[in-house]
Amino acid sequence: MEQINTEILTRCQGGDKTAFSIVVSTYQRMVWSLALKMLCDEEEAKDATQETFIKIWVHIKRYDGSSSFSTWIYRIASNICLDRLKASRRLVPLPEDESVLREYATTGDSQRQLENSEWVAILRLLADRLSDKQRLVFTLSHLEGLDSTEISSITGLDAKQIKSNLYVARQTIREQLKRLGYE
Amino acid sequence: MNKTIDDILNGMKGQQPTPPDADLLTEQIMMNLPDIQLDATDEEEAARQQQGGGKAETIINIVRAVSSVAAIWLVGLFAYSYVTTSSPINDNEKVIAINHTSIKTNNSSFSSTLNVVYTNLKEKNKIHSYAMVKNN
Repeated sequence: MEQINTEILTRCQGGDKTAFSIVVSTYQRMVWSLALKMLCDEEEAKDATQETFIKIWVHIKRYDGSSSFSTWIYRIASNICLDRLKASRRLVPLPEDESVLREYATTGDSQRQLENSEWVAILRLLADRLSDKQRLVFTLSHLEGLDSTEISSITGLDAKQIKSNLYVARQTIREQLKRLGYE
Repeated sequence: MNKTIDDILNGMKGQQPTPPDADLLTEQIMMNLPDIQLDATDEEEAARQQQGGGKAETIINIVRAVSSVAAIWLVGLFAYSYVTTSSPINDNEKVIAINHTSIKTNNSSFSSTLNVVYTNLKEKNKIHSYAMVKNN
């Protein structure tokens, strides 16, 4: 994961917007990725990304270096996504989501990069029955590839809670895929 | 060829989608940043703490005043009760009054009260015997 150097951070803490634009361009994709996977809506993800960076800018003086800067950003982004999930209506899979998944599943290329709309459709279908917490742990661990320590620092959950949430999330997604005819 | 469940899940692992127009999004974020870097929450918190401190000080002052008044009133009450119970109306009641107060207030002073009663009776007898001698 990309990390920003301390000089840029110090400049940001001093109110330097030019330095902050480097922070935005460095971490924008990371925040967008989490927001899109959590919220399954491009417009919502865009708004959540903006909100995250504004919050980072406002509270950047509070960053004390006790965790990595990316972990701190993930924590802010996660809280914003959870708040938005709570405020919005439940994500209901659309009939066309199944055909998007089928198309992805029939492609021979295992390294194919998913388009934003494909992410939205597939996750809306697979993570339909997950709780917000399970969705967050699954996204951070399985989709973003973070380790248990980082997830613990982001979510405030201990290792046991992370493990159980991840297990339930994986089982639920597997059951959903089985129901759709995959083995 | 259909992918298995594991293939689907593994294929999604570690992939990061890209925002549709990253530059435009960066621009929008930069435009929406507040001009002055103020930690509003910190300021509010400080103000709240200051307000809380002021409130606590006021409460302490009120409690201080009330307890001072109560202490003065209690001292007055004790003094008044002491004066009214320990001032005899005449000499005949002196012994009874002294005796009464002593028993009421302190059991350990019971023996000294008896001494007072004994001395008073002795004095009366002295006067009585002096009068008898004089008459004779």
